[in-house]
Amino acid sequence: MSSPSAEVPYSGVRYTLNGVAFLLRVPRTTIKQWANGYTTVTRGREIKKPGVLQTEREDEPTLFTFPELIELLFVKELTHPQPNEKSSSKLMRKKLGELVTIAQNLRPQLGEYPFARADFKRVGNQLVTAKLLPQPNANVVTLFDTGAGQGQTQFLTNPQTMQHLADYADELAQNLVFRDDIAAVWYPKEDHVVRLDADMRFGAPIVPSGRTVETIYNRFKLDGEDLEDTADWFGIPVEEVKAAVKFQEEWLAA
Amino acid sequence: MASRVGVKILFDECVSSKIAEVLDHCASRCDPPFSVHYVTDDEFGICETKWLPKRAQHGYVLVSSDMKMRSDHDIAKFAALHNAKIFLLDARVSQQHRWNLLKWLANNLTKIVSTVGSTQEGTTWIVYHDCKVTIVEPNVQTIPTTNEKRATNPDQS
Repeated sequence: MSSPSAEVPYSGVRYTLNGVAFLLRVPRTTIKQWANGYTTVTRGREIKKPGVLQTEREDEPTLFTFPELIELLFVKELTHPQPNEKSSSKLMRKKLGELVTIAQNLRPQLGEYPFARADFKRVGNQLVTAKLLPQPNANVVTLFDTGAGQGQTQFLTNPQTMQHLADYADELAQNLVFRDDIAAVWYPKEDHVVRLDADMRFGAPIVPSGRTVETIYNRFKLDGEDLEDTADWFGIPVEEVKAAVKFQEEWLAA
Repeated sequence: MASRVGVKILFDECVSSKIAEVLDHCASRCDPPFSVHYVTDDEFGICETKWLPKRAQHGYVLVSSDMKMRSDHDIAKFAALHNAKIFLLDARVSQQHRWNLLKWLANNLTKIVSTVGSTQEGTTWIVYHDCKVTIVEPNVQTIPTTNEKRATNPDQS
């Protein structure tokens, strides 16, 4: 199998369920539901609801690629209750269902990992604007028109969900770097110091010098919590140690 | 000193470069002698698919810490693909204060070196505190790269 662009290497090392739960600050059981789906029982009948991520994952349900991690960020954002909403599992499942529909409809056009695509931001904006335009973009209509609308666009999902998705795509794009059209770097914090790069250190959170956050934090804690001493041990600037410690403490506290 | 020896241990930030330097000074007196090296700043700054295979080709054996965030089996598959030898130090080894870490390395590094000599390329091990090692089996399932996945879907190209 030939690769169309060999300049973008990818180690293929995936995140564990524990790793994703830590990075997203979400319980493992919730991650599994989002990713792989869940089963409900209605009148004695078991109904399997699909997850947002692609179905190929069924062989390895507890391992996640970098683009899947990014897709789960969207799930987290969308299923998180809004200020005017009460938190409930029913609402979460309803939103999850909407996301599954959107992902399924986007895949034929954007490919696998649609939410992690650079093009998703563009499509996301069209999703919102299409409803407002007298002549909506044909591609978007194809994606979301039920076909019953006699020229009128009928969306398969709640327009508010699409608006939310589009807004979040804009927001998240500030913290992502795309390579070859797909998300390859994620800055989890606004300060853009700590990053996860799909191609470096097997995707672990790292500081600008490339050392892993976890190793710096552990050494800091083990050897007396001295920032300068830790920086000297690794031969890196104190600022990087500070950033690593701050990141790890914030994420561990969640 | 490095020229005298066969096994070349390559540490990443699981230890300090200073520790690696001290160990290297002493390792030539060991039986069998070996050398100790440290990942360069340049290598820390680029993706592992670029530097690790080159190091492996030149006989370096990477020693890193085992982070449960990533799949060990995927790392083993990566090592197998690139004929690299990787030792992942268990948390009980890597998460000791520096004096105990140094003592552990001084006592056990030779065992790692002898393990290296008796196994083939492309193997990944986890090393425990009692210096027992277990081989990590690579994932048998194919892990297509992002690019390979794109190549299979002509709609995206």
